[in-house]
Amino acid sequence: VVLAASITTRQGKPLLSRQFKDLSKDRVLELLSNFQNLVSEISSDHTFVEDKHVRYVYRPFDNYYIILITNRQSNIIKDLATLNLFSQTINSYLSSFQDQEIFHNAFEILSSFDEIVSMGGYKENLSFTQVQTYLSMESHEERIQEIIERNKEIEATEERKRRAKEIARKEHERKHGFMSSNGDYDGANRFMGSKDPNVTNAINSYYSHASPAAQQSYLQSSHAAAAEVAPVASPMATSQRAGHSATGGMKLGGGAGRRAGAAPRPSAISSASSGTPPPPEEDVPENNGILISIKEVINAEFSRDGTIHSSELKGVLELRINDHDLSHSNLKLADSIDVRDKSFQFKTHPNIDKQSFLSTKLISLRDKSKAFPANDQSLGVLRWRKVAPAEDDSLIPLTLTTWVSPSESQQGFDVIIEYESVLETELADVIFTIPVFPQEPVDINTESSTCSDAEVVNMDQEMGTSIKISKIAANDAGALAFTIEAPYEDALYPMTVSFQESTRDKLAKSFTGMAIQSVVMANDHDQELPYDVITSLKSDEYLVQ
Amino acid sequence: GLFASKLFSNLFGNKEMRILMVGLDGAGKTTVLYKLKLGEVITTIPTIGFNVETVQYKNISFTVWDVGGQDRIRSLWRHYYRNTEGVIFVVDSNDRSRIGEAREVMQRMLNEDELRNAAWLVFANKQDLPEAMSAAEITEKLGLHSIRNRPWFIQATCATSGEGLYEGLEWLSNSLKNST
Repeated sequence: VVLAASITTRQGKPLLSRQFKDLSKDRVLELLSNFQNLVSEISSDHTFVEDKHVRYVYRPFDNYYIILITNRQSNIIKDLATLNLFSQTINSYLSSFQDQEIFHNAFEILSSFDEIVSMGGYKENLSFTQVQTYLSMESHEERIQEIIERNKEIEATEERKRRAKEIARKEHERKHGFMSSNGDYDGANRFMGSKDPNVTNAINSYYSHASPAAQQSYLQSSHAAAAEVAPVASPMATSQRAGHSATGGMKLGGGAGRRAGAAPRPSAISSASSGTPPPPEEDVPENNGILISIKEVINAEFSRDGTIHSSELKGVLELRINDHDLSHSNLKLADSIDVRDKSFQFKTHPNIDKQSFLSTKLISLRDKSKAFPANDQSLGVLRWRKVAPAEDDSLIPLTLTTWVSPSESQQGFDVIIEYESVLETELADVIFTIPVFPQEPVDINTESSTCSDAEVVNMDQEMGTSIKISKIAANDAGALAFTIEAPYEDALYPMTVSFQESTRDKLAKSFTGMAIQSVVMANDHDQELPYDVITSLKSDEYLVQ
Repeated sequence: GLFASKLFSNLFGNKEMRILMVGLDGAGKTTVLYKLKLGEVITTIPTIGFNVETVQYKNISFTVWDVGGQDRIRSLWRHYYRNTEGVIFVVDSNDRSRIGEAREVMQRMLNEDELRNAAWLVFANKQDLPEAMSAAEITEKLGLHSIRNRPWFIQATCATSGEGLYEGLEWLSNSLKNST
């Protein structure tokens, strides 16, 4: 059996040695120095020497010896094979043959010795490549384990992000004075109901570092929470499994709440145009020969405090003729209109003579020999568009200001919408749409509202809640007040308002002042023709953001 | 260079926070740590020495040191005090017999000079057990209300289900924001 494997210098200095039997360091040093004497004495080519007790099988390489110390009964053939394997592995670890290099790799060399010879001195039946595989300690299982570990970490990171969002959302809700009623699991809420002064202390310590708004909302919610103690007390006491399902429930509930609150938002924008019962699209007004429609559509966005973010007005002048005798005609716009005003971005139909439009405000065909179609179909001949900057109310027919505060009597918000019309005509059937779909009925506060006949006309998941007031008188101001259930204040926005107004009057001016002075024969400007004018103003996206 | 890199990391809002998590043995510190790190409950053995993991929550990377809580090795905790910005003290809410011991150990730590600026978070752990004391009860038994000079917060948790752990991190992240 192999007693020890060692490396020494040719001068006899031992560099490292691995013992496979119980040998003391002194004994090994003694044996190695003994070997030095023996090897210097022999002159044969054999690479082994024996003394009384042990046999040395050695191999010189460069300036060193690799020595196996075996007992004398050991199978020398096997030992030579072992030695061969040793020298191979040593060679693979060493790039140069220096003491430093050997010391540096001592650990690797020794562990390869351990692979080749088992404790007790018996050779393992291994090839060089097997030794290398074992030493590199590559493991398929380990790699899989690492991948699993990594996936878990990624999952945990996702979970953290999700929870962070959830907590932020709750915080947000609390700041807006809303306590979610579904089985609150988070600690702060749970002991809010407690009357224990220390707990109040604890929470106060937390809120003493919170923003004033949060503190205020905490004070509010602590009153509200008192009522909630009973359903909230138990969840922690249930088993872990139940705890799981409790959270599940909370998440579900929270999710649903969110949906109810948030989902209607995107669709709300379209509500003005599509959702609210669209005022019946002109049941084609009567045409007595020449009918001119001046249609204007207004888009506007307000902030909650009533400042105007943006406003845009689009207008079109349409001509409808049903009598061939009248089709050879020209339209003369009112003198007050400045057709060169760049802010209106006037655009004439390609067949309209732009020069005469710009110079004499006359809408006539470019080709004098032709006539307007007399097929009783509306033909847009002139378009304009005006955009007003923020704060500029020149295009705003109806100003809006909203006041929202948490409701005292009901879970939700007290909302007051103040409006002021600058129109010269009355607005009928103005519809306010709030993008929430409450479970509780909307409570319209008739005392604070100016218009006594406000009523909820439509309520659905997609559109939200629509409240209609029957009229807003010309140049009138007023307010609409109601209480509505909502998860948090932001859910009430964007509120949209839709209204429509139209006047049939030859002399009527549109909202921006567009009007017709006269309609004359194309070849004889002194001969006036009979005509009718309808002006209309309609809201498209008119909202409070 | 150090300043620049600090500035750089602050610009992107990625902050670091060194957290020391201590508590009596068997309070669930290691379970808390690996629930935060891996999102799952691992089988733990009593910690000899420490476990350390970084946990990224929002923009803050928490380096959480979980130090073994056995009586014999509690004297080693002080080696971890330096530069600690937050302490998580984990309490086994179900163990009424040792809450007094927990109080003693915690009050001793509160007096440590090296921890005078550390935010103090208490996890009232093992809330899933039927006999568990409430966060309020623990607040009282640990004497938390006598803490004056630092922000503190108690959070009811259940490490096995993960309940409350993130709320705790949320509070730590807020207290870090407030202190800088």
